[in-house]
Parts: sequence; structure tokens; C-alpha cells
Amino acid sequence: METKPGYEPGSNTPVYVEEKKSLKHHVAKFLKYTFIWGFFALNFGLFLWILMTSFKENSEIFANPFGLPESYNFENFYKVLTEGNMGLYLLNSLIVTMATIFLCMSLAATISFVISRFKFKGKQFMYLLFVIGVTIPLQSLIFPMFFRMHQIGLRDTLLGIIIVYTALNLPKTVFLLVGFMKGIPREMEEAAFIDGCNYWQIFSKIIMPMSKPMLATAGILIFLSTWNEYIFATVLLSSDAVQTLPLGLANFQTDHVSQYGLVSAGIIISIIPILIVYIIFQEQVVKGMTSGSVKG
Amino acid sequence: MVQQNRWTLSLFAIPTLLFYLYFFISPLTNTLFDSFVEWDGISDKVFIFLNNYMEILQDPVFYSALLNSFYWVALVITVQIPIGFFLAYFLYQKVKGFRILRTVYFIPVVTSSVAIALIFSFIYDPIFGLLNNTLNIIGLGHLTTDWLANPVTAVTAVALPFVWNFIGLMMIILYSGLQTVPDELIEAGEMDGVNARQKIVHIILPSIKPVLTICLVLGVTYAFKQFDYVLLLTNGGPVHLTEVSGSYMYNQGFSENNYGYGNAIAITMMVIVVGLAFIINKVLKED
Repeated sequence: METKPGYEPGSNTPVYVEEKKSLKHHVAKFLKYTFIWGFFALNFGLFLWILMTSFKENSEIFANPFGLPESYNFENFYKVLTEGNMGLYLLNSLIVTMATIFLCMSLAATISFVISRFKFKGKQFMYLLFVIGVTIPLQSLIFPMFFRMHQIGLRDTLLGIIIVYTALNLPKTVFLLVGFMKGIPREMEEAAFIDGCNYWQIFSKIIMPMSKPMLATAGILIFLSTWNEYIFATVLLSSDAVQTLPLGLANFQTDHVSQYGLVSAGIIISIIPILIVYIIFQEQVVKGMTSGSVKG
Repeated sequence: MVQQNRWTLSLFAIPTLLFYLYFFISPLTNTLFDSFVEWDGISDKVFIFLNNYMEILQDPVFYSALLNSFYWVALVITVQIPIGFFLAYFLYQKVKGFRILRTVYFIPVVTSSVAIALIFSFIYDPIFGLLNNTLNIIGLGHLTTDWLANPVTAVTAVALPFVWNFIGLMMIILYSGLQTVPDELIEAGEMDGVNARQKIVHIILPSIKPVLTICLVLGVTYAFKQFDYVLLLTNGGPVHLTEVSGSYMYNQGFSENNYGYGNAIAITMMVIVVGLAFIINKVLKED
């Protein structure tokens, strides 16, 4: 017997009424658990399957595509990191992502400070430029971005891709930061003015520390979009030395089409870093993605 | 109080503004202006005004690509959001294993499109793929096919990784919406003896309409901008069959060196996406 909140007839006092478990109830419960654990098994199973495949050689894959590997040898991983250059791509991705986060947050925070805390002519127009950037699908910038980078000699360089990613992430970051900074109370700022603080001190000692939650959210959103980006990377980066992880992985697969074990090891290596970040910062990632989508 | 020059404030804004104008706004205006020219990327641009757009209107491949994009939108509405909703709804009912379930549901959202595309290329692989092997094992061997090359299955096969990619995101957003539904509302409904279906349709869904709108706008936007899977799995083939508007734009530029036309497609896509987002917001905000 299960109890369920209800009300006694003719009174407003809640009581617990006993409810019989019907067959229908059991079926519903069964379907519900099949659904939630089924989807869990699908997600988990796919990644597990790739992990298992990464330990196998082709002959074993064909003989036994879904079972556990005969032995856990890391030869595929070793090959991917050395011959496949995946170590270098990992480093490139780290550099590009960190630099983009730093550059984008610096550029966004300073202008958001001005837009959110001061009144001046042309402010609405300035803000509108960033709102436009939030609204349009960024992929439509692909051709002019390519030619702009080509024109200034930054195509096929890490600096070039950092600039492109910074530009693409800027509107959303400004949008989120302006929204947040508008809500910071003015009293502290006014007190600081009276104490003789200059704009820079107000920005760095008051506004920035108080904006930490939104800075973290923005940082996570930039991290995810940059770390996983493929389209702009494939357009802008061609030499081996500057490729990022998704691009390097895609090219590695093209060169080793039928070597499933090797490609699986590449997939696993590319997933592990982001998985670690996700698991450590899970709450922030989930919150960041939610508020990022809801506000953007 | 120290008198400060307001102009020092501009030092905060100007670097960002210049950067943004040069690397975002100016490329954006280039997309627009270059949609009026014929250009192979090397020789001089030839101004042809609206000819590219006229050509788009008569381009059967563009229409089929656009139709595929709308098919992706349809999958968002009929598969991605409903699965996301039920996952969110069951998690909201406090099931055992909440944390591990949510963690695993969300993993595809943080995984790169390249990794997901490769995983799906393994699923579809004619020789060792998950799909064909499973069909053989359960005795449906006659259904096995080359999923990405077969004209009947290719369009859906390319769209599925996209659907799977963002189910977790839809779930998380809908979950955040469910948490704002007042408990009294649900209790009142239970007192009136509503069944599970009525509870969802008449109580839950109306109260999470704002997040549903967000999911819909997000899904439409993603369906139009996420063409990674097309480039990675089929590159639009067989013969443009799996092309979506984004991949068609990309290939017109970088494979056909037809940059003016590519930009015209980009602008058309932009108008469609912004227009759809506007309509969704307008329709769902009324009443």
C-alpha cells in the first residue's frame, strides 16, 4: 500500500489516503523505468562499446564486435598519440581554448562594465550590435571570416583561430555579462567613488569580483563551444602543426578509415579531457548551459 | 571626490568595440554585400545584385536541402524534445540514481560533433556496425543495408546523431522549467483526481510554456546551424540527397568556389532562422 497526499471530504486538513496499486500502475512504472534506464544504457553502452573497441585489433573486432577485448593492450592509444599526433592536437586545443576564454572574457567584461553601469550617447546602438550577434546563426559568417583571416595573414595559425573563436563567442558573453552586471547594486560603487577610487579600481575591485558567478558561466560556455568546434577549424586550419583535437581526429579517421581500433582510441582520447572537466564541474556546466540557453 | 574624466571610460569600451567591428560586424556586412556578387574567391567580384537570390529560388538542390533542414526541425519537435521532456519529467519525480542518470544523459552534449559522428559511422558501418550486426543477430538480416548510402535511410541516418547530441540539453532546460511549477498546482490537480496524462497535458505543459518555447527556438537554430554531421558522415551525398542548407552553403563556397552564391544562401538561412524564432516566440507568447 502506498500513501498519497489528499484531503478528507468536507475539511481542509490534508491527510494521507491509502491508494491501491493497480495493474495499470505497475505497467506504467515498468515503462517509466525501462525508458529512463534504457536511454541510460544506450548512452553508456555506446561509449563503452567504443572503449572496448579501442583495445582490439581489426581481426578481433570482426570476430567479436561487442564483447570484452581479449586483452587490454594500449597499443592503439600509443599509436594514436605518436603516429597520429594526437598529443600535439591536444596541446593545440588547450592553448586555443584557454587563450580564447581569456581574450573573450577580458574584451567582454570591460565593455559590459561600460554598457551596464553608465549612461552615454549611442549606448543602445552599441548594445544592439551585440544582440544582433546573439541572434544570427554564426555559420553564416564562414566565408568572410575565411577571407578576412587570409587577408591579414592569420589563416592557418593558432592566433587566427583564437581571434575567430573570440569574435564568435563575444556577443553571447557580452549579452550574459551586461544582464548580470545591471543587477549589481550601485551603493558600493558610489561609496567607492566618494573614497576616490577611479574607474579601473571600481571595475577590478568591485564589479569583477561580484560578477564571478556569471563569469564562470560564460567561461564554461566558451570552453565547451571552443573545445568541440569543428567547422571553422576545418576551414581555417590546414597544416598539421596547428590542428585542434576535433579537426585532428576527423583527419586521422580519414587516413585510417578501416582501422576501427585505432579510430576508437582516437575518439576515447578526444573525449577524456572534456569528460574530466564535465565530471568535476558538473553542477556549473549544467547550470551554465541552462542559463546560457535560457538567456541567449 | 576626485573629478574623473568620463573619456577615460572609453578606454574600457574602445578595444572591444574595434575588435568586434573588425572581426564580427564587418564580416557580417561582407556576407550581405557579397551575396550580391558573383565571385570565385580569386578574380574580381562582379556585381549581379539579386541574381544569386533568383537562382536560389530556382535551385532544386537548395529546396531539397531546405526540406532536409525542416525534416531535422521535425525530428527536434517529434523526437528530441519529447524524449528530453520525459527524461526530465521522470527525473523530476525523484527516481533512484538521479545523479548518475543525469550525468550520463548529458555526456553527449559536451562531446564533440566529430567524436559523435565517428561513433555513428561505427553504428552504421556495413561490416562491423552495431546496427547491421544487431539485425543479423535477431534474425532480421534482410533489413541490413549501407545506412549512409541507401537513399531511403541516408537522410534519417545523418540526422540521428544530431538528435542524440542535444537530447540531454533539452532535458536539462525542461528540468529547470519543471522545478518552477508550483507544487500546489500539482497537488490541486491530484486532489481533483486527474490521471497522469491529464496532469502532463493540462497542468505541467502549460506551466512550462516559456522553457518549451526556448527549447523550440534552440532546436530550430541548431537544426539549421549544425551541419557538422552532414560534412563528416556523407558530405551531402549520395548526390546531394542528405544535404542540409548549412552544408549546401559550405559546399557552394569551399568546393565549388561559388562564394557569392554561398553568401546568398547564408543570408537566406539567416532570414529563415531569425524569422522562425520570431514566429515561435510570437505564437507561443500569445494567449
